[in-house]
Amino acid sequence: MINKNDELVASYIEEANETLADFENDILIIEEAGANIDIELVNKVFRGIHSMKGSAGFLGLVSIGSLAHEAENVLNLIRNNELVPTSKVADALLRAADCLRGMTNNIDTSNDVDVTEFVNLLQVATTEESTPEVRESLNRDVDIALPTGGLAFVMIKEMELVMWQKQGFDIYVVSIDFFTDIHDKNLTPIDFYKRTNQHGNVVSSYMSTAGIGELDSELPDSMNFVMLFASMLAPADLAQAIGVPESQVSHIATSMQTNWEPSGPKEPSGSVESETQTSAPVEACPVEAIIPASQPVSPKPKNNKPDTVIPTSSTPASTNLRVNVKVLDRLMNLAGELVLGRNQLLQEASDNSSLGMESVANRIDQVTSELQDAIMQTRMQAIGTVFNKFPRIVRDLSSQLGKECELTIDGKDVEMDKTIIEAIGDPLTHLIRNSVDHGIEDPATRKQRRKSPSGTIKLKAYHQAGKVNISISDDGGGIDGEKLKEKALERGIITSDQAADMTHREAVKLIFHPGFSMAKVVSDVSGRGVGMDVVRTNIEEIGGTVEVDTEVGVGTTIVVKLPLTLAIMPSLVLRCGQDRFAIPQVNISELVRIKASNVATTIEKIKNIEVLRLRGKLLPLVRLSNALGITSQFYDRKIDDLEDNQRAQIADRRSGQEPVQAVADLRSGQDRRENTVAGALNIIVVESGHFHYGLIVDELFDNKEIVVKPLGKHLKDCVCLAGATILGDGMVALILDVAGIASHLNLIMPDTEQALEDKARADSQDSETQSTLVFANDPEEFFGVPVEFISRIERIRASQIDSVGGQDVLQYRGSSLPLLHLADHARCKPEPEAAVYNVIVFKISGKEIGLVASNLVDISELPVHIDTVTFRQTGIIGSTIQNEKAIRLIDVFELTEAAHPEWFTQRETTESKENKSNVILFAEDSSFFRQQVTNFLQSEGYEVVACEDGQIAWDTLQDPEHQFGLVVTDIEMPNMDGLELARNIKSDPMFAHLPVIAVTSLAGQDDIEKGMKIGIDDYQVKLDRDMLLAAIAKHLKAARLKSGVLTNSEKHQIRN
Amino acid sequence: MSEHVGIQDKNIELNPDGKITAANADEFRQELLELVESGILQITINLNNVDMIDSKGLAVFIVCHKTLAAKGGSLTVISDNEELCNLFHLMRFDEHFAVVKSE
Repeated sequence: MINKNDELVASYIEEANETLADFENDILIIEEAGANIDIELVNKVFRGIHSMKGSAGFLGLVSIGSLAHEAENVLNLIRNNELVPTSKVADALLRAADCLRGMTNNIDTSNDVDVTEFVNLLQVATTEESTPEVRESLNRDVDIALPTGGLAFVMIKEMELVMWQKQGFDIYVVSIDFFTDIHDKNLTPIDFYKRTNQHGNVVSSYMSTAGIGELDSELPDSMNFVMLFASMLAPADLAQAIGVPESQVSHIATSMQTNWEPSGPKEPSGSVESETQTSAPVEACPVEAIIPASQPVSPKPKNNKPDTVIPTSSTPASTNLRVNVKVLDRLMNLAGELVLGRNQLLQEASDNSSLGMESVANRIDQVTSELQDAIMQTRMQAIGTVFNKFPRIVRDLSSQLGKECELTIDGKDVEMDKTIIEAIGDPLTHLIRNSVDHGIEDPATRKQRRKSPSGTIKLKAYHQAGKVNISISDDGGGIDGEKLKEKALERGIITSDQAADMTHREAVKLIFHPGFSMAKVVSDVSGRGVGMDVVRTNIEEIGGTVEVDTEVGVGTTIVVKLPLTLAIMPSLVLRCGQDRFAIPQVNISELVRIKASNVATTIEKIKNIEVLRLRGKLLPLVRLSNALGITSQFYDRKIDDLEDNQRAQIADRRSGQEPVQAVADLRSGQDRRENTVAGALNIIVVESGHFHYGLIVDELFDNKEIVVKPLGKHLKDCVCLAGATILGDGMVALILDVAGIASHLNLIMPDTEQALEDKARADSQDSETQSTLVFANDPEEFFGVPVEFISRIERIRASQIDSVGGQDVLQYRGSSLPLLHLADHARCKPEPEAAVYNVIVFKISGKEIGLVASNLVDISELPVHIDTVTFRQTGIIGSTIQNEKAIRLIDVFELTEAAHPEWFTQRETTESKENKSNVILFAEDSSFFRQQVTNFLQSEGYEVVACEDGQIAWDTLQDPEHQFGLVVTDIEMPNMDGLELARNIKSDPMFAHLPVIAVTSLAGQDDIEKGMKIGIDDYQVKLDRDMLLAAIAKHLKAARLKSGVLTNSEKHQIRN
Repeated sequence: MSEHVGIQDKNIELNPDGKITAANADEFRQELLELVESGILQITINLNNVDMIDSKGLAVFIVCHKTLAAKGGSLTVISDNEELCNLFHLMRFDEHFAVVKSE
């Protein structure tokens, strides 16, 4: 039974796979070269397959062994120039390699596989293609010489060696000492025989009898036995199998066969026959030991001049060493620890700065960095190991599909972490397959498009910006975004609205949608439902991204960006709550800081997701504290006086002194906390693949090279975390997984985009919004004033304010401007003490008055739906909600009246509420004004019927249920504007008597004249309540005078 | 240690049993030495009853062969153990002295 977990088997599988990975590519090159073989390359392939065969024999993998053997034979013929590597031969070899790979990967059942078919293929290919070679020269004797010039064996039939080698055996000179190698290991010679017999064949052998006496002397303690051994095993395996040190196994150079000509002058300097005086086996080169160079013996006379064959060293001089990955991982970990220690040391050294300490620290720093780099390199592999299989894939696939493709590969030497190399194999294969299958057109189509019939796929790896980019570009048909859309629509992946709005780029991105396969016919090549989404997921899992750039008819380029390594990452360290976290730099696209004063305005809420409008794009925001379920902590750093004051206030409030506010009741606890914490916001804009979002954190620290430590198994379900690291001060920081956080919170980008559209649409409906100046005297209390009411805004110093008889006055332009404090009249917080204030100046009843505001927030388009109940009080007309914040709208007239009632005593007021003529028809499309005007008219005792446009007003007027005394109308309205309404009224004898007052911001002289011509009785500029009320009173009175119905006071006035 | 099956002229057949190992190899060598010194030139060693030979034991055969060959005699080894015969063949002992496989 073959145990997969057996270390030997495992390493065999690994090695075999490596061999096979190169095999295909090399065979293709060999095939291309044809008869003009590259001997080095053939040798390399031969050696690979040979050692694969040898090890297979050792592990009892019969089927693999015999197939590899056959492949080896073919390769052997090729390198002997006895076989031209035609495509038939290459095919047979490639198919054999496929079968070998299959068996290697299912090693348990490999022995059950019938390899006859492939063996036959190889044999047929060999016999058919073989060119008869001169073989008579094979009947020659050779001596097996040693590097020192001594001979191990003489007069060995060359033919015999060749025969063995033809059968795939390697020839070794093995030296065994019967005492040290057998007896001392408690083995018997029979054991030795059994082992030897299992692993090969003895071609020739002899016992060195030197040092062995006769019966009359003591029995020897050393018996050196040398054999010329044909085995399929690799030297190391053979040594292990027989039970001798590897140094006692010498491989006889296989190149002997490629060099048949007697190699000339090198005369053998020793003979086997010699009774040399070796006393003990010499470990280093035992073959040498039996023929010391110091005792030259003339060579035996021979008929043929022998070839001299130099055995290669048993461990070929190689610069590479096979090391268990686990050892490297451990080294890596230790290097990581060292880096952490170094960081601590550096911090410590900089804190206790002593010169000696510092220089030591610097030295350690440098060495550590270099060590770390070196160890990192051990994990690095050239990406060529992945790329190598692609020529074969492209070759097979294109011939299968009847296409012609040429693959050019660039940047094979680019090195990446082994883990990444392993992970990108499948995704890249998929992309390459796609290029051949979907990208490159068939030759006929290509001709039609005036392209060369053979398509080109360029595979390229290169470094860019600390990442490795792999680009796969083809000059094929490109991706048709429109077709993708159709398909996506068909499958219900997108709606027709979405399809209509999609840009080409967005449409192309659809190929990454799960289950989306563009193959017209589900071929066995691609289109198996495992689509680009899997490719993307796989690549993103290792911290990479995929981008597609395509043009219909021209081609497609897919760029995969990958990090160099996963073990050490430059990361940004940040704080949230009391803990520090790290975010890998690769995930960060930018940092945004929003000043405390701007938080309220920059952050919006859409569908319960906070968003940041960043350069015209909406970015969903995530509060890290919420994502992780910890409490964020405000960092109290003084920035400047103004902000400091505000902060002081926040601090006061947090200490529990907060008076109960109506506003507080409206808000959820969470919102309250968010606002409390909302000093300046630090937002890290992170990207995870195609996905961008902002992460709100408490504080940002420095960029650090962190060593990634995996989380314990018990934490594997924490999707928000990618690992942990230890910071310079020895504290642990968790590494955040930005993709994990997004999925944890169900952040879905398309929704946000949809919401953005909705919002944009909403924004564009002007009739629903009202330009409003938003200001705050307190970070939690927002007030709004319609901009139409504002005549100007002044920025003043506190010292400019005088208090005269309890009235604050601004000394201003030589006169004095009375100031209003909102808190004096409405229930709200007073504006905090500050050096500078803003004064919003209104003009009311011909007089100017200033409202003190400490912090102007913005001019916003506020929704006009006003809640006139919750906050209704003196000076506050109502409230509206923006971004989850309640904004109280100020009624400047009422406020002014509260402060200066004397200003308004002159105004005439209606007295009789029962009077039918006091019913006013009011047409206004802006619901804000409609409400505001309606409110103050009603508060003055009028009955008001408000209509949304002229048409409705006209209809209402004709309704006999109402009896109106006056019409107030806006000019600009949909359906029927104010001018038309007035014209209708004035031209209808039923209503011509009604006074019509136009209220408009269009108050040019032309307009007024135009209105007067139609018959409008009065023009009022939007929106001076006082003037409007006066005008209404005046016209009603005039109307009553006309009809003779007067109120008592009017009668009284007339009498006077 | 070994039972002398029979002596004819200068020939002798030995039939040792048990083991020929480091424990008794030297004793066996002495025995063979005495035989050779007594003028025996043809020694046949039947190993059918021997169940174990170690490296030291093997050495006995070599020195015995060397001694006999020097004196113009010869050594014959008989064994019914196929593996042992093969070992002798592998070591090319059979090129120096007779190794007979008995049934």
